[in-house]
Amino acid sequence: MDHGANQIQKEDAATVVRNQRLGLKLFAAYAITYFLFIVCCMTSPGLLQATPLWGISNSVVFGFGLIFLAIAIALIYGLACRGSGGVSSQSEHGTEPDATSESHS
Amino acid sequence: MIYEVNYTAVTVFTLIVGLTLWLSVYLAKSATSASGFFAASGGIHWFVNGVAFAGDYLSAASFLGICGMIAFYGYDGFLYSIGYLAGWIVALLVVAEPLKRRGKYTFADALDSAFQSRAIRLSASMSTLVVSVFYLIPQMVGAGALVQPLFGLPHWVGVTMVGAVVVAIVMTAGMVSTTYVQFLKGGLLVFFSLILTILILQRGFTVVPESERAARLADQVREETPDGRILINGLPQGRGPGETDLRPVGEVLELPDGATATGPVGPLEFFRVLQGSTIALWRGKTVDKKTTYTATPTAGSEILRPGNLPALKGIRSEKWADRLNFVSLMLALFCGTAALPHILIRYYTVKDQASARKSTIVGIATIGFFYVLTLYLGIGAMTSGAMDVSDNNMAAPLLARSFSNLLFALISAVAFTTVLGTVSGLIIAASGAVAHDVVPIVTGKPLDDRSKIRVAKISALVVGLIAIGLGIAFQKMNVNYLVGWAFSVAASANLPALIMVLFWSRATWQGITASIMVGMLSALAWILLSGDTFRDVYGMPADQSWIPFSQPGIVTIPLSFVTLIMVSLLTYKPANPVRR
Repeated sequence: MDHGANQIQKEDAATVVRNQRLGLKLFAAYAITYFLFIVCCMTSPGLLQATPLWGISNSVVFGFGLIFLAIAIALIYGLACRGSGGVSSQSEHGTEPDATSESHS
Repeated sequence: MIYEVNYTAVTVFTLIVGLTLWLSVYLAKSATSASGFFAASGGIHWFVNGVAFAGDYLSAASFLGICGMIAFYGYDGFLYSIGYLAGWIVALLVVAEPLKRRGKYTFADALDSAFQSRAIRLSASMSTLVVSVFYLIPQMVGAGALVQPLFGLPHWVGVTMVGAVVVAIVMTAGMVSTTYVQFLKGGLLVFFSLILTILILQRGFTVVPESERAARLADQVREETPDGRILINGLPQGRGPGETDLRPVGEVLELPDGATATGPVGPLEFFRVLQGSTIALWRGKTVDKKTTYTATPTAGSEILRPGNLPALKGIRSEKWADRLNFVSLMLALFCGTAALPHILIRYYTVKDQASARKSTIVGIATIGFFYVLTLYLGIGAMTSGAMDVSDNNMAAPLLARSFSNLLFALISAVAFTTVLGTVSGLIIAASGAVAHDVVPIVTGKPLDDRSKIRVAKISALVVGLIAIGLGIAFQKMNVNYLVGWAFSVAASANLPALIMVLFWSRATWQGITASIMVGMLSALAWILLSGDTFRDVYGMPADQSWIPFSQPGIVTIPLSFVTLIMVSLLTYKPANPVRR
């Protein structure tokens, strides 16, 4: 277990922006799906009770679907960010502002 | 129900608590600096941190509360699972990496990194304290609920035990020991939940025999007499002659095609069978300290539909205000995770953004897998014939006891570590806010490392004592429901400020401070004036509340965003946007 001095690997600004854009797109896709599910719960109880897949009610299918979708999105994001280059090192905690909000400083 | 002391459980529990305390003492040398105490010096491996995320997040609410809700009300409990996990998408895709880049020890670091404002630090640390205390209540309630069947001791003893052990863990080695306790607990929780799920599928469903049906479905009455005695069905509660106790419940009344037992079922067949079955769901109605529990035959298709839980029955209402309560809850769960201080500080225990990202992905996979299991665990408990009709928080441990005493011992001990792990995280978040943010502002001078750690340890003790008191006071509430409140306050107070600081260059320190305060106070006021609080806390009729629905998120989250935008626009000066 290494709890010694912190070693920061800082991704370059272009990588940060690229990751952030991808993250926001995936976030938007998940948020829309999640809120469609909420609307469905409120307005279409009949749809939730229907059993079109394997004799299992849609409420279970949609619920499991949202959980597995979250895991899938997390993995996709992780893989897509893996190829990011431009890593530099520094020896202590960074508190630099983001590429998106540099106007603060 | 009266529980007998389970010595196997006591032994396993003692071993696990002993292990966690040993771990704390062993790791104590890692917490001699402020960086070591509050952030494990950023030296935690991303995989360990990811599982520790699960250990931190899967609290008593997730294990005891959700299983209990599903066991008594069906699908509604699973809605919490869905919402809790969805919140991690916000954490991963929006918050994790920028937060890691900007912060050092606390959530206030990230908010304040571009402003150096005392107002931001103070408001962020206040919201950290409020959210942590709100979140601590259900954990302590869960601890008390667990200790009753384990030791046969009163609720308050369990609460005090957890408080004492956790304060010891945090005071000994801070974030390092907390991380490894959470890692251990996260792994154990998922592993034993999987074992329990496999056993549920192996057992399948069995119909209550016709000969036993009348006795097992008869009403049960629990009454408290003016002199404080408890009567069950008119007799004193106890196990001796002339005494009686509440019967365990959880009956399958009918299976598809008139079958009496299914034998082992597959993971999908499990739901197909439930869909065509009829289950006895028990409801309690209290009038003047007399609670009558009645079994209601309920179709499986109805159980797998939202709207059975009293707090969520508005989904089926014709009135939009009632439906908004549900939307508001789901919004708070979605936005709350990425705003919980004890989750946010875990991003500082890894070395860089990539590690923050990777550990969140591990956390999502672990937590998501666990939440899938909760539906099996809840329905397994519902049909186990082992539940305590008066306490839905005990559904998961009692489900384990329906298989074997050893499994009950293991699950109870794991549930107890669940509480330990989460409470440790909350106390370290709260004590970090006090030592790192509040005290330097109040005293007007920064603390050195040694003083910071000393203040944090004293704060941990004080927060632990507060948590013990509140855990005793809120004994009767479902732990999961209480966590819903903590999410609402966190989502209203912290998330708008965090998002806008990261993504809106015109945010000013005044706007951020106002947003945190308005979000926190409005969410608190809404909760304290809601119908649910009138009924469950004040003991008053819910309809005396002025608030149209109980969950504040749908009003207070947008209110917090609007406040930040309005105040920032009013105070923004292009030439010199960074001000104190």
